[in-house]
Amino acid sequence: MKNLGYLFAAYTFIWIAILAYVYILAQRQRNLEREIKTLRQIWERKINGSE
Amino acid sequence: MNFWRGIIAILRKDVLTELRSKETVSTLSVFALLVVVIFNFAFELRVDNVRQIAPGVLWVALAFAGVLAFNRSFLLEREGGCMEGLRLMPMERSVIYVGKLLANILFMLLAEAIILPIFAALFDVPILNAALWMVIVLGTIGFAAAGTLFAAMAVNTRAREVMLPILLFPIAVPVLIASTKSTAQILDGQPLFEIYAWIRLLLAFDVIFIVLALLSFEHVLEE
Amino acid sequence: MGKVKENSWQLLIAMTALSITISLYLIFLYVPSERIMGIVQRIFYFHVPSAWVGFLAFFVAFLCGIRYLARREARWDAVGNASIEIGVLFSTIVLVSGSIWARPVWNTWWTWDPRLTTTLVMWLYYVASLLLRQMVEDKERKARFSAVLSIVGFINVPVVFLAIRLWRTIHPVLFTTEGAAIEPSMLLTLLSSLLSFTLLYFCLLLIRVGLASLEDELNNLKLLSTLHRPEGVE
Repeated sequence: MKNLGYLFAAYTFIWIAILAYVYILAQRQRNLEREIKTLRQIWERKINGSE
Repeated sequence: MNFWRGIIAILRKDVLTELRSKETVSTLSVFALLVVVIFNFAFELRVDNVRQIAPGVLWVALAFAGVLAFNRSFLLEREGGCMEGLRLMPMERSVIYVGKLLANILFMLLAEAIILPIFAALFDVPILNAALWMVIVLGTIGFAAAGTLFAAMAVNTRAREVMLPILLFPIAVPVLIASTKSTAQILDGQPLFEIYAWIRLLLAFDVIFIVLALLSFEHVLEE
Repeated sequence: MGKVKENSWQLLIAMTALSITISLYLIFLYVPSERIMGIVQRIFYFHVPSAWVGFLAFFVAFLCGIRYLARREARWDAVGNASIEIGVLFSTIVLVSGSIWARPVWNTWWTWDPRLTTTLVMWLYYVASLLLRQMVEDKERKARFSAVLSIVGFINVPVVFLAIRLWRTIHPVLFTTEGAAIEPSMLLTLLSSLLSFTLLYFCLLLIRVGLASLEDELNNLKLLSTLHRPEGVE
């Protein structure tokens, strides 16, 4: 079973690449949701404050 | 025919601007020659026959110089605030494209007229060949067709000049391959019918690029 | 997210997971090793579907580009951009997996084979188009430019391939990738993997487009805030 190392390398790269992309997306999603939440809170406070 | 009037108007404007400053053709020529000379140094130490790499060197030099020309053609507009003026013109946007394209081709041809003799001397290749001139004209047209379109986009980005070559070179690969191949065949003295195969291909690529650019240009320039 | 949407999303994920499991089984436990290349040949079952997904992604972006220029609706730009990102991801996978495969089999990390070269050239182009997107501020202009680049890029793929192919046939081509007809068990494995990757593409696409909607929502909120100027918001 020669060249098994190469097979392993190729497959590892493929999955790491895909997971890296998904991870980056997930990070951005978390940051976005956090920002949206913060903005919403400020917004609500403003509306409640002015009543 | 409003279409042709507009094209001539833009062409005239660019040519007059160039006549006044003579910047574009001179910088093109100098830069292309520098590239040729540098390549000469880079390869002469390792290659026995520099004639073999001559076609490639020529077209790389022309490609780099072309990028300078295309960048300038829209940079000057942008810096002078002329973009709005161009957009206000009561005609199809493709007119602007054709006008700019013709100006770019003209400047490149002028620069090539200067570059070719010196290139011939440095690489010891014969250039008094109608087929060679035809290839150079066709290659220039194809390269400029794509370059003018992408320059209109690149000039609008933060990184400006740098964006043009990295977008243009991949797209221009067919034109560059066909041009280099034809040039090589001509310099090698290949039979005419073989050379014509590649020249026909080059022509086809030119047509494809021009058509694509004409169709997309209005979407690039609007505001 | 509506109930129907939520359910079909979960269905997609489930199908993808199932398909991947089946493909992995077929690739590693079912299909026999190729005679000449041995076990390393199994990279083929991920390499080819990746190329397919790349092509599909750029085609979808091409369609979205046309659609956007025709309709000027932001969602076509969102889908198109997501598709280009995923296309670049899978093209990267094609290039790297192909390189790793080539090393033990052909004793070189790279060959200027027409398909690989075209992939490399177009990879560079699409990466450049993503870069350009970063550098344009105005949202509408960003979308317009991306649309034009996606359209021109995709049409150019066969042109580039043709040019390189014609160029390479003059030089001796050392390797031919397609030799004999493919064996049924290998065909089955390949098709299964193809399906898995296509499903994976749609999963990633939906996730990425969802992200774009979130960004949109955030921008709208920011815009609202600046209009009403509540204290404490920059």
